[in-house]
Amino acid sequence: MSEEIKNLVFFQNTIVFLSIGSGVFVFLFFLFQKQSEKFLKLKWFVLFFVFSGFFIDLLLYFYSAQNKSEYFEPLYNIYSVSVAFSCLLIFRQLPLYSNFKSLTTVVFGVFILIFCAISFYTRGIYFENVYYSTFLKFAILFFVLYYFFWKFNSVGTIPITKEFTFWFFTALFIYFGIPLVVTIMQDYLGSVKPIAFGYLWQIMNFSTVLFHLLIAKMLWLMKTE
Amino acid sequence: MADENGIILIVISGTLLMMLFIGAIILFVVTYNRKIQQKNSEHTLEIKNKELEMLKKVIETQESERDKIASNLHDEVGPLLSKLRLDMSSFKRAFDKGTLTAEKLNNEREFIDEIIDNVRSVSHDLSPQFLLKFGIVKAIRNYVSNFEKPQIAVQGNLEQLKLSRTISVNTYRVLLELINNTIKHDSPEKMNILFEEKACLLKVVMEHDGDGISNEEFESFAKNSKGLGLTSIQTRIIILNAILDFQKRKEGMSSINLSIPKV
Repeated sequence: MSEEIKNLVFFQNTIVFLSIGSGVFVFLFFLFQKQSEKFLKLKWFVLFFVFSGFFIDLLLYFYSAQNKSEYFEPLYNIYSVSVAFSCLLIFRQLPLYSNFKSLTTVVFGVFILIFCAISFYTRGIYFENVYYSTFLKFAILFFVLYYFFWKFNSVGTIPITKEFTFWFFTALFIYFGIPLVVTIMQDYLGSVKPIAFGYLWQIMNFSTVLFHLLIAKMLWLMKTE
Repeated sequence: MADENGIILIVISGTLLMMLFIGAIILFVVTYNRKIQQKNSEHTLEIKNKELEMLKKVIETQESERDKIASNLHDEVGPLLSKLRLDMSSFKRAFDKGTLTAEKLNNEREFIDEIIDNVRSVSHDLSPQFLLKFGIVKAIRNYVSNFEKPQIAVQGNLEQLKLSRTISVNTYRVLLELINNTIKHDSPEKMNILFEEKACLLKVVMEHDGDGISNEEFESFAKNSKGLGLTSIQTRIIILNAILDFQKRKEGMSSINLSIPKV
């Protein structure tokens, strides 16, 4: 193994360790925090969202360690469906106005149907089309911006930073927004500059750490609701 | 090779731009929200203070009216009833002696009529029955008929006008206070009171040939006055959701305009 790859593996391991650590932190936070009955469903859906990504990341990590390859398309496909499904469930439970909820249900519902039809039936699970997952990310970012725009125009009785929905949308914004350029370019970069891509991919893991911390903040605020 | 490095540079700068964009949006939303919240809380505090002030004024007005009624009962009806009691004792003695005359009894009947008038006046202060029975215009006309000077003319034929008890009573009290204050402080020779119905408003225009006061002067008097008359006017104006406008005379007549929503 060349020195360059050794450095990359060390760097990658550090960031992945942080990402796993923050995920465990969320899990422990959820486990030991006294749960209120209100929003209990929502908490379980958020946990499903966080840990579906968390376990898929872990599986990919072990897969890449054994097979010397970052790619295992079925897991990416399952991850995309799980993200869309989690968003569909979570957005329905959030205290948002009904049109917003209906729109998200339709968009994520249609996405899941089309994605499943293409990935699991027409093209097979081993085929990963990066454009579908990119569309999903854009859809989520659109809803995040829509939320911020909505909040911009409506003022509630409590400051926005005391609302757990704000932290959830901020978490989504960071998780899908920061690594957006990397994920769009992942096919190209992975084939022409694998080492550089290996480093750049850590932006994704870094945003995952932030995502976990913001979700912990959201769960903390939900406790006081 | 150079192209590939260029792509990496684009990815890095794109990611940095995304980070800046996300940070800026979140920061902007939070700051804007905080500013609006602060503005709202200041506004809410202002409204609460106004409500408190109004409540204080309402209580003060109630207390003042109770004091007025108590003092009327004590100073006017009380001595008359005491005198009546003494008269009765003297009548008994006169009756025993056989000196009680019909003239004395007639005088006493007139005296009892005076007591009844006083009781009626106190009762009128408590609840103006005439107003509730015949309406605001007739009640004011009836009230001003007691004045010899100034000459007060009441115009407006609003027989069909139907107002709620709250609106009637509060308007009546405001007008009484305004009439009395004008007579007391401006000593006008002539006064006209005009009642008009305009869409959903009852408009009352009081014109007089006294000096009059401006809105600013009224505010200042109300603030500094120790009496409760002007405060009572202000409170009732708030309750009525009405507009009171003073026009000080420059040439011709001074006027006081009152616009009251009918519902």
